[in-house]
Formats: sequence, structure tokens, C-alpha cells
Amino acid sequence: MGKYITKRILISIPLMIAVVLVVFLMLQVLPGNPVSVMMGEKANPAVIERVTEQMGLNDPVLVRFGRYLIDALHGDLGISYKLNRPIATLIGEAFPNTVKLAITAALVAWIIGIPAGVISAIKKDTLLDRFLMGFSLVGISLPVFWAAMLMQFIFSAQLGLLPISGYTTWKHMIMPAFVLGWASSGTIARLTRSSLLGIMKNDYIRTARAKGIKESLVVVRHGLKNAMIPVVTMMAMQFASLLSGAVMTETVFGIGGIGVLMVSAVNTRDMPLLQGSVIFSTMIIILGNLVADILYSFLDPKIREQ
Amino acid sequence: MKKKLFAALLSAAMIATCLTGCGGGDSGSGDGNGTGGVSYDDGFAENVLRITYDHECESGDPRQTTADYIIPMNIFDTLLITESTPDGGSELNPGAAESYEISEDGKTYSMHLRQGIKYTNGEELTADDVLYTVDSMLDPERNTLNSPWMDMLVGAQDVLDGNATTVEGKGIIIHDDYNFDIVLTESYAPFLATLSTPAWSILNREACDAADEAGGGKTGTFFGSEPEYTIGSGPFILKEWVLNDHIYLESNPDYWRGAPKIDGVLIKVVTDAETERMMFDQGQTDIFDLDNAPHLLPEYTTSEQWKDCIVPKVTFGVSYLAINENIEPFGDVRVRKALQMSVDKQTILDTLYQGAGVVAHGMYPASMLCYNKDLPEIPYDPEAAKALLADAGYADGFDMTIATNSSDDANTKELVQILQAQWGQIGINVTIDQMDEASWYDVRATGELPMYKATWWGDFNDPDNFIYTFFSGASTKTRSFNYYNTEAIARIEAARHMVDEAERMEEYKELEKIVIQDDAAWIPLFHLEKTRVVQPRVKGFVPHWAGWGDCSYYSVELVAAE
Repeated sequence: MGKYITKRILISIPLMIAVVLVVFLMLQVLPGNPVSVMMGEKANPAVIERVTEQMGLNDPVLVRFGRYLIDALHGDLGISYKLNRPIATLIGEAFPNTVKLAITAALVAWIIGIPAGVISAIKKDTLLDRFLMGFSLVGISLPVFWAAMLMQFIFSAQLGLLPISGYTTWKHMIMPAFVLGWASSGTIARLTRSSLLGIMKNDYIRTARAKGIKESLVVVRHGLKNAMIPVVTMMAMQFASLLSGAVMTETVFGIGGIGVLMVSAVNTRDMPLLQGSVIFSTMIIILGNLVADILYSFLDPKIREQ
Repeated sequence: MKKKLFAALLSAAMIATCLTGCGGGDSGSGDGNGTGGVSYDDGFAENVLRITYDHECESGDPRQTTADYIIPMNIFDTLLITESTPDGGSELNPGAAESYEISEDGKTYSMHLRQGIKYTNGEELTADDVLYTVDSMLDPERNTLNSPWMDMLVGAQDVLDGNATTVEGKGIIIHDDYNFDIVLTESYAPFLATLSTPAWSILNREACDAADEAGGGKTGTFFGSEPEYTIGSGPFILKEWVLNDHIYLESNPDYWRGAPKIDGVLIKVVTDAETERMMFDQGQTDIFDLDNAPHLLPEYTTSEQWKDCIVPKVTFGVSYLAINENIEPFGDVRVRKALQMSVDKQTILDTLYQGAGVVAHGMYPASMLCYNKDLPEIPYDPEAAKALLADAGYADGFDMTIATNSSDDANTKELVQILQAQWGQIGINVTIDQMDEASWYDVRATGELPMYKATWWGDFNDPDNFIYTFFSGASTKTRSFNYYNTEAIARIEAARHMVDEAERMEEYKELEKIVIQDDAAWIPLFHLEKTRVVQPRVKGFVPHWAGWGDCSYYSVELVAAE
């Protein structure tokens, strides 16, 4: 078990370094001088030349990469060209919003997804099953920005029940959490249903029933526990993905999270900020997958034995 | 069982529909009068002006931005202030400097500061702060972007080159705390007007030094980003900055012109135009800049509810098509004139911009000091254009390219497609080359960018800010015009040094006609109008004199509904 976890962690380290290198190189090969973009129509050749030199943009790529890597290991991801602040600070201020959004959305997804999947499996092929699976399908299929705008229109513009934009009070969190959670709940519901249906056909379930155990106990204790192994893995990966930034949801609801930070970096061609936020998001996904792997090993005795 | 479930679902759907229908009538509009129609969900007081910004503001430090001036314009003072006049023009008024004299040779500006102007850290604004402002803008250890506003001072180049640390005694000569001279290397007639631009915001030495120290140095300074360290003397105080959420500017009760009538300005970052529209309709924001959603212009301007709340302002700017004379066949003036005459500008203005603006036949907007109302119109005449092309040897047309860049707005992208169609009618085959923004700027700087559309927003009311910016010897190449009338270029470069103001203005009028109409070096398109819609409770809102999106909110008052 310990060996398995150590192996997974060791695999993750070179992956992280590779990500830093690839992201850095990809952004370096893009043509054009970012200082020209910073100045826009007010471009002045003398200023562009001076600031380019001051920012070290004339140095060879390898020198810049070495400098970036050393600084990054010290927690310094550079300074944003446009916002003129340390990138680590910008990420540090945006990440709590993304975490709040991820947690609330994941809760919505789990609260809707798991019971929906279980009920659908138990009530297989009934109207309820079809309704719940239909609801899940709509959640997966509906573009997030459209669902978000629809909710804004109904609950804010028409009913005036919830605030349209911003992220300061608990009321602000309801719509974004539901929009994002609904999309994720569909996947969880469908996976829970199929997994549970598969498990319920096993011999040990038949044995449990033959012993006269109550059906609800059979489902929960013997069925669901085993059916949740792939579901929990999926949930961990989904959560990591949510933590890496939900661009559309954050943009429509005006949530200052990692997603919005990345979009603004792309729009303003703020390379250090884009680099820092992409690397940070990728790290979150790598760590999420690592946690999912570890969690899987705890849940699945077969892996534990290996 | 199935029937019960179906009935339950149906009932839920009906209740939801009813609730939606009930709310549609009034809550969607929100009267925004601050007396009971709106309950603000942002936690700020009612007497706070609420506006939106469609992106995170770059910096509050005027040394670090050439684009987002909303913070500097509201928290700092400038020596002079340019203000709108009722006729749509502008005038230069005293600011932190209550008076000034200009020497006969036009090189020395003796400034007299108003006494008693206080920064919010308690320091008084003195001549030393002006010196600090200049020195730090020119400091080569900072990545300052606005140094060109000050590099004409004596000794400025030495500081920029790292050979000196100050212009004291050269470009700035301090007599006492309130009196000092600004000395230029050569006369520069528009200099006075430049003193009212945000780049000339007067920064406090002590506050900036503290911000540098706290941020770990000049490049990491907290000035302009951390409210605690961003100290000014203007009508508002930078109180709160929650990244990608909001900026709050609180009224400065000790402002030398008197405290603002509002408690503060809340700038909400809203990147999505539809969200912005819903917030405004609900009364959650007070001013909606329709540049962020031009498609809504007809809706608001014709709406019974909003048509009296529209605040239009013709911008002090010009949209134009750049012609690169190095690319054949644009070296031939007949071809350039044919292009000028074959663009149906009014149709483009009506179609894409809902007619919000005026067609341009020259370079200067109507509120320019030397505006020439007698400048002949450039007619829309495709037949005459065809004849000119035939005369130039291009009766069958030719192939050409228009370069767009990735950050162009949707209207610009559509505009070039309309041009493609309009020029197609006279046989010109247009290819649209979409380029990445940084590459676009880089290629333009080499003088090799083909035709492109751009918009220039004036910084100060002087023709030099337009004609010199584009057609001075250096600029004509770096903006990819490659204009070859060396005589006109020499006159443009000389005009800025002319001391007689009336003569100078006449010279600029003549130069405009030579460059735009005789030489057809540009295709002027229009002077666009910036349109905002404001809540009825907003009174005294005066758009920026040049029609910028950023402006001072000092004059705003919020009133209860009548």
C-alpha cells in the first residue's frame, strides 16, 4: 500500500516539471513582443525597447526558463505585465473563490447525482428512472453559459430572488453552484446507476438477499459500497477539475476565480500571468488525480493487496 | 403511482411558470431611484455611485498603465484640468497649479501651486512632489510606460539613460514649496495641455517611497495596487480593491475643491455584457456604457423608460483606415483617392454603430481647437473611383490585404468584411489577414503592415496630439503609413515649436488638408459617439471631455426620485 502511494507520488514529480517546461516553451514560441501589446495604440519605440530590456525579454529562452524555474521553486511566479502585481498574490486571491465555487458545486453534484443514480438503479426502467436520467442528461448537455444566463434571467431579473453577479454573500453562491453542480451531477448519476446495476447482479448480493437481509441494507451496505469505487474516483477528478477554474461560470457570474484570471491573461496577453495560472491549474489536476489514485487504493481491496 | 408522480411534476412546473410570470412586470426593470425600488445586493451604501468595468483594472499607478486611468483620474490631482464646455468643446482650467506663466521662447513654464492641498497621508502637495513625479517616471529601474510625456524636459534623457537620477535644477527648478519652473529642451506649444493628462498625476514622494519599500523595491511597488499605499490628493480615496470583483473609491472629505456629493464610487468588474445589462435594468448599477453592448443601443434609445436617460458624447477621436504607401499600388495617389471615394461610410456608421457618430472627412474632431468646418467633404462616388483607378492603370482592379488583429472588436471585424464587399464592387479583391495582436503590433512597427483599421482617442486638445502622432518622420514608418511627403512632414515637426498660437492653428488646418485630402494618406472614417444610459437618480454626470470611458465622477450627485 505504502509502496503504491510512493510510486504514484514519484510519478507525479517529473510530470509536474514537464508541465512547467512545456507551458513555458509554448508561451515563449508565440510571436510578438508583449510590451507592444502593453502599450497598444500609445506605442512608443523607445519605451518598448527600454521596457523589453528591463523585463529581461531579450535574454535567451533557456536563461529565462532557468530563472523562472528557480524563482518558481521559491514561490515567485513573476509579476503580471498588466496588473503589475506578483502572480502568486493574484493566484492567492483568486483561488479561495474557486475553492468556494468548487466545494459548493461539488456538494450540489453529489447531493443530486448520488441519490438520483441510486434511485434510478433501484427503479430501473420506470418513469422515475427515465425522469432522473433525463434530468441528468440535460445537465450534461446544456451549455453552462446558457444555463447560467437562463437562471440569471429567471431568478434575478424576473423574480429578483438572487443577485445577478458578484461573489460576496451566500446568496451569490447559489446560482453558480447549481449551474456547475448540475452539469457534474449528470455524470455522477449515470455512473452510479450503471455501476450499481452491475454490482446488484453479483452472487454475493443474491446471497445477502437469500439470508433475508432487508433490501435497503442490501443496496446500501453490499451494493452501494462497492458501486461507489469508480464513482468516488470520478468525483475526485471532477473536484480537481473544478478547482482548476470554471471559466464560463466564473465569467458569467462575475466570480474572481482562477478561470477569470486565465481569461483576462489571454485577453491581455499577460504571459507571466497566463503561465502561472495554467501551471497552477495543471498542478491542481495532477494532485487531484494523485488523490483519486490514493483514494481508489483505499476503497478497492484488490489494489490494496497488490 | 406513475399518475401521482406525473401530477406532482406538472404542478411543480406550473408553480415555477406562475412565479416567473409574476415577476416579469416590474422587478425586472428596477426604478433605480434609491428610495425603495432597489435593494442593493453589494453591501455598499445607497449614496454610492455604482459603475461597471468590463475587465480588471490594470493599475492605479499612472506610471504603469497607458490604458486604464479610472483610478488616477479620481484619486490624484494634475497641475491643470481639462474640462468639457457646454458647447461640446473643452477648456484648460487651473488644477493643483493655480496660475502659470510661459517664457517668450516657449521653453520655460513657471508654475505656482495652490497652497494647502493635502494628500490623504497628511502630507502637503509641494514642488518636491512634482519633481518626484518626473524623476520616478523617467527612472530606468522602473518599467514605466508613460515617460514620453516628460522626456522633453531638460535633463530627462540623462535620467532615462541612467546617467543622472534627477532633473532637479535642469528640467525642474524649484524656487520654494509652491513655485517652480518646468524647462523644456525646445519649445513645445501643446505642453500646457499635456499637464492635464493622467500621466501627469502628481504623486507624493513619501507615500511612493513607503509603497516601494513595502513591495520590496521599485518593480514590486505596492503603489497603485494596494489601497493602503496608494495615496493621492484627489476627490476620492482608493479604499478597497478586491481583485476581479470590485474597486471602491471613497469620497475624500478634505478635497481642496470640496468633498464630492456622493459617498463613493463602486466599480464592479463585470466581464459579461448580458450580465451587465441585467444588473443595470435591475437598478444594481447606475451607469451602463453601451460601448460594451453596442447591439443594445437601439433598444435603450427608443425605450420609453430610458430614452431620456441617454448621455451621448461625440468622442475626441477618429476611426481611420491606414494606407501603407510602400505596398503597391498604394504609392499612387490616384489609387488612394479612389479608395477614399469608394467607402460608403454613412452606411457603415448606420449599420454597425446605429448611426452613433459623424462621418469624418479629415483628421480632427469637431471639438478640436483648429477644427476646420470648411474642409471639403470626401464624396462617396464609386463611379469616380473607378475612373481614377482606370487612369492609374488599374481598370480591372487589383488584389490587396487588410490586416486585423485578434483583439479587434466585433464591429471592426464586420467593418472589414463590409469594405471587402464595397471595394469588390469596383474590382478590388480584398483578402482579410487575421493576425495575433502582438505580431500585428510588431509587424506594424517595422513599417510592413498592410492596410488596417484603427481608432485614435485624443489625450489633450491640441492638433499635435493627432497629426504629429501619426505623420511625424518617425511615426509614419512605425505606424506603417510610409508617408513620403517630406515637405509636409517637416512642417508637421516644425509646427509644434511655433509660438504664435493663431498661426500655429492655421498651419495645422492646412496640414490636415494636405495630408488627408490632397495626399490621401489616410481614409478617415468617423468620429464615433460614446453612449451611456444612466439611472434617473444620477445627476450631474459629465462625460470625459474627450469621450473616454474613464472619467472623473467628482461632479456626480445621487438624488431621490421625483
